[in-house]
Amino acid sequence: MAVKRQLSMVMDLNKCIGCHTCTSACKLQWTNRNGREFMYWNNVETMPGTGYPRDYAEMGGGFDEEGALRLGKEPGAEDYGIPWEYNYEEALMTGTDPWLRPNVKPTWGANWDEDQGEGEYPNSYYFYLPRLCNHCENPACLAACSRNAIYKRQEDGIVLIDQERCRGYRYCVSACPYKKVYFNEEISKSEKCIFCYPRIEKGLPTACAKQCVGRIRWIGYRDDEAGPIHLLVEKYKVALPLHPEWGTKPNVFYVPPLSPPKIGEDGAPTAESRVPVDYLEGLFGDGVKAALDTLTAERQKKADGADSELMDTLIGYRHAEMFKLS
Amino acid sequence: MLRVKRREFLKGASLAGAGVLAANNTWALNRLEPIEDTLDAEYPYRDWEDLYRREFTWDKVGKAAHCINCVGNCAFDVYVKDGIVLREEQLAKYPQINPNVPDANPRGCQKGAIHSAAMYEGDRLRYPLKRVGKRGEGKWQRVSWDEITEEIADKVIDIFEKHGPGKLMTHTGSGNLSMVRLAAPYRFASLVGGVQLDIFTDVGDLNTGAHLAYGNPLESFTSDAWFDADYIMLSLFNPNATRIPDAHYLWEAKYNGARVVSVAPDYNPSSIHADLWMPIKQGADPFLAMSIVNVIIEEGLHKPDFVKEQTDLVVLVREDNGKLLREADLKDGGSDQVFYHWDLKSGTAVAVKGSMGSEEKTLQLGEIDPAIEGRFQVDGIAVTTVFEKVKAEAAKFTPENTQAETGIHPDTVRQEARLFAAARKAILMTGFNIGRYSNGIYTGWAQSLMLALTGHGGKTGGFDTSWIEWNHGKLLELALFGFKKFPRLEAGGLGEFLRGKMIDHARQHFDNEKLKARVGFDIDEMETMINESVDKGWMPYHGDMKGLISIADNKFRRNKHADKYRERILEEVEELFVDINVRMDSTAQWADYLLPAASHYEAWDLRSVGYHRFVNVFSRPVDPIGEAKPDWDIMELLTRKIQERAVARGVGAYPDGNVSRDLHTIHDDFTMGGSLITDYDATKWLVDNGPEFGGVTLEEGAERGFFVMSAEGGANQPIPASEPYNPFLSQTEGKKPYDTLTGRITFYCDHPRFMQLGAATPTARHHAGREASNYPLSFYSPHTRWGIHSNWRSNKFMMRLQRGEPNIYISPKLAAARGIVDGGRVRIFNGIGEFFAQAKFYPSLPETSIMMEHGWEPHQYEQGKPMNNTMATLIQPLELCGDWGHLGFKLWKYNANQLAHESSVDVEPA
Repeated sequence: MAVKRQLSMVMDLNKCIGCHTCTSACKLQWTNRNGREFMYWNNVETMPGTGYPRDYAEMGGGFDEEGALRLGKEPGAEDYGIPWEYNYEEALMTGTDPWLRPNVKPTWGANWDEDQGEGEYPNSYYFYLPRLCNHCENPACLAACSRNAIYKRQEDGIVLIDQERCRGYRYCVSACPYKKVYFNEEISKSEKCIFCYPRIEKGLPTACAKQCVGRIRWIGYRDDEAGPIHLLVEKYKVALPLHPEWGTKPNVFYVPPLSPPKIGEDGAPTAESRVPVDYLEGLFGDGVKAALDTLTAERQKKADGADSELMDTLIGYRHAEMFKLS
Repeated sequence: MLRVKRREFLKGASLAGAGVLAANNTWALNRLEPIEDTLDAEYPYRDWEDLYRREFTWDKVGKAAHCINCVGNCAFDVYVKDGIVLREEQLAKYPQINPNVPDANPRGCQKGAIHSAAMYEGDRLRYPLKRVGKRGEGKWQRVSWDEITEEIADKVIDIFEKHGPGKLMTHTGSGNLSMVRLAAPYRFASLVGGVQLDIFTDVGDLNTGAHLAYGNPLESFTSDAWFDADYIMLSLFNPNATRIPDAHYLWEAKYNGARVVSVAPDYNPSSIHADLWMPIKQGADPFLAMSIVNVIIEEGLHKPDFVKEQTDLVVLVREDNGKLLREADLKDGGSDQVFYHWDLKSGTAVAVKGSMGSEEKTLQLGEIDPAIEGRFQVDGIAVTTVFEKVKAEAAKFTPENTQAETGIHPDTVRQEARLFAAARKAILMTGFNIGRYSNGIYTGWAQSLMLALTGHGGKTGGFDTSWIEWNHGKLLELALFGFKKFPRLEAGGLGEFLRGKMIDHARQHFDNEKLKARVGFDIDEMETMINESVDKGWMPYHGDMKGLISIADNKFRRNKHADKYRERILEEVEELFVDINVRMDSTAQWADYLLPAASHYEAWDLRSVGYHRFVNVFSRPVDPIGEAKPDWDIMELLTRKIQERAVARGVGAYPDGNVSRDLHTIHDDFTMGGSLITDYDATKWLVDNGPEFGGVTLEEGAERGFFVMSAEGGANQPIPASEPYNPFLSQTEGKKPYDTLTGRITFYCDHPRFMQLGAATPTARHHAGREASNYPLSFYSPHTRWGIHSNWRSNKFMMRLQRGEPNIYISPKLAAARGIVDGGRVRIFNGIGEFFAQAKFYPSLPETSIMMEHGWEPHQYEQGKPMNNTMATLIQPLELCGDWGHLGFKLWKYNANQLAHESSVDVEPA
């Protein structure tokens, strides 16, 4: 671990309901102003899907197998979606426009392919994947910054872009394979999720985690062996990083989703789960199958009336205890 | 230039990690600030971090929830700076009531989390406005409160003078479900005798089948009571989208060992986390429920003890005429509300305790052992049991027989029937869409039967109807003027259907013969039955109105065949149309006078809701924007003006049935003699007088953000201090009779209309759907995650996470066949109307359906043509029955729903 301590987040995709309360919480906390309007420091994607910005996973970035930095493509405004405005005044107050509509024809948005997924009825499948900056152990944005304006805070490992030092070269934008750094044209600087450090410093969890009504998010330090992160990531190995092959070593982890069985030709359920395991492995790496097996086995223990430390943790009996910030 | 160089540089260098950084330093542009390692060493220039810290500051924090028709009700901290609400954040401080049950935090959703943005949006009403153009033209003049309320007061008095009482509709919609906001206009309606429709049925939210069975559709579970269930079936219910604050309890129950099964026509956002998705054909839910009943009975999976004590399945039915055996059949002058079961011990018919006509108000059987099955003779009358009747009906619905209707494999039905029956605690959850099908009453009744047969009631499970009616006696007293005078209550779906002459659209759209085959009646029979229900007084309908004061209601959004409906209403209320609203919705646009109401964060208020035991406090974190006023204060001012003008005009007391409509004292009456002038006064009165607040003061409650209701908050039974709330414990444990004719969970109804329609026992019927008309596609219109009806539907932050404009969902296969592309514009049409929308691909939908979530504002559609223009609808005549025990008009409990899923459409690229 490069830093003294590292904050980390685990998200359980089996509990994510795709409500975008996290997205909305973050939006009003940080990105509804000052040129950040098009940004979603936190967003929720329907998977399989194109993601946000559009097809970001195809844009490159991160590190190659030898550990060399790769610069990727920089997304265009269309890839993020234009934050369109509405003619409330003209359509509703003065009667000068015939109906309420956006000022640009919407052709793309941050959640454009919501609930679409893959497959054909009745065997379609999808799930939700919330994303924020991974506050990586080996951040590609940091490596790419020619100003050395991106740093990891030693006390909590939060990756920040020095807003005084940044000159808006945008190497960080193209280097981040998750496309979680955004260029603010209004101020000519790059901005990104700051893991709500002004909240963390007051002992509060991030807005996305505190306000998550699915109760899918745990926050804690990686080195806290009594904390939820260690239990989910290290002990039970049910929480996995997104695209570990990109080489940035994320500090955000996901519990991969179980799914109901496919329906066979005869209309009866089969033994096959809807979301293909190899698809999940493409996202979360080799640990997927073991993680899903562990979840299934531990859940069965509860159904049989036995104890399960893992299930009790994932249930999260006390919301406040899902966050261990010291 | 720099960029190209940089890229080339990086491409050329096969440097890794720190190596790149070392290279960066040598290449750094600004050598005045040498920075070494930003990864592993302390960064030296961190003062700038104050930039974001400054964005996390505020002047004060207030408390509020959101009071529209949402079953969430979530306490929020409201952050205020310079008198403006910056943002809100869930309070997340509800106490855990039991260490073995997850706490309720943080409750909330994306709509609540952006409300501070919505309240300052361009559609917000800030000043009193008077129409200066034609209705709906959008020409407004700003006038003072004094002037506008005086004009309205005179027009109200004019209507009384010209037409007498009963010609003013003062309908409060479902937008005001917090206590003070609700009480203000209801109290006004009580005083003027205004027409108030049932807000459950005017949107189609009522589970009438649950009322038929249990005598109370509003006795349900708090969501934390889901956690210890071991079997949960979701039917017509998509909680991940529509119960956002509570959905976590489902998936936590699943981790706790529960099996969760989703029954839905699409693989919806809740199905994705279920153990099994049963892809049912749209509207076939009663067939599935009856096939599960079939398996339960055939395989003997029912629980005799529960059946004998809690249900009418042991009550005796005459074999000759199919009527329940009544005391009146056996004794001269006997009651027609006393019934019998067959006591196996004595071999005689014994009167059932606990029925409406019984003196003994208990379910306790004592020494009686009632027969479940058999045929008997009572005074020469051949009788059998309700169970035998139910069994005979259920025999028709084997899983093999119903497969063609439901699309569900018989093995799946049998498997789930067995697991359901064997469960320790099984909960069957329905959403409000159940009321929007003409066969919803069949679904709810048959599902109640599934539960009752298998002994799932009270702590062992039951029917989750999404709503518990808590015991707020003082709220009712405030809203209904101390029960001294009442509004003219009206059946909701029926009132809208008749007033909007929706039968004309039904005649245009449905094929009468096909319709009868599908739903069991044709339009002429339906009309006859509607007339009978109104004529016999089973259901109140108050006829044409002259004036309308509409409060927090978007009637021109929610009503079917929308444009025609609007024309007819506007014609009726030619003399006066006042709209009291927070924003310019699709109804406000057509008003004569607009009175701007305070938003959630701008008034004092309280709110409870059926999914939890907390009453949230609205502490008025900011003053109302512009000249907006709290609803209470608006009604205070309006009544003051009416009283002044009535006195000045020398008019006042209008006799109206047993009461007098005293316009000359209406302000004194409204304010309790001047003591309740403001929103704060009314809020405080409720807290000071309501026992459910447990003696905690409003100040303490406002500081904390919520009250925890005391035991007195329970209507059917006390709220247990440290256990989740399970419904009907008074009945299952306390042996108190149900509020039904027989005092038991009811599965036999010998009301003539039920008998006539072949519905004396639970059975299955189709909804109308595409098979009853001439268009090929079902129209499936569930609730959306992105709004609460039309609230927040047009908010830009929400719209940016959707398609920016109204969209339909379409199977990619159907789209391909029709030449429709994702994102393309389509025309949806049938013989009665059309609308345009964007197409969005949704592979989880069958090719036979178009899905479009409801709630879009008509003014969001191209040319203002809403989807409801294509909706022909019906009325379910069973929901209009009266004079039969617990069947008859009951506000929020029994009357006919407005239906949304009966008609069909076609689609083409546009």
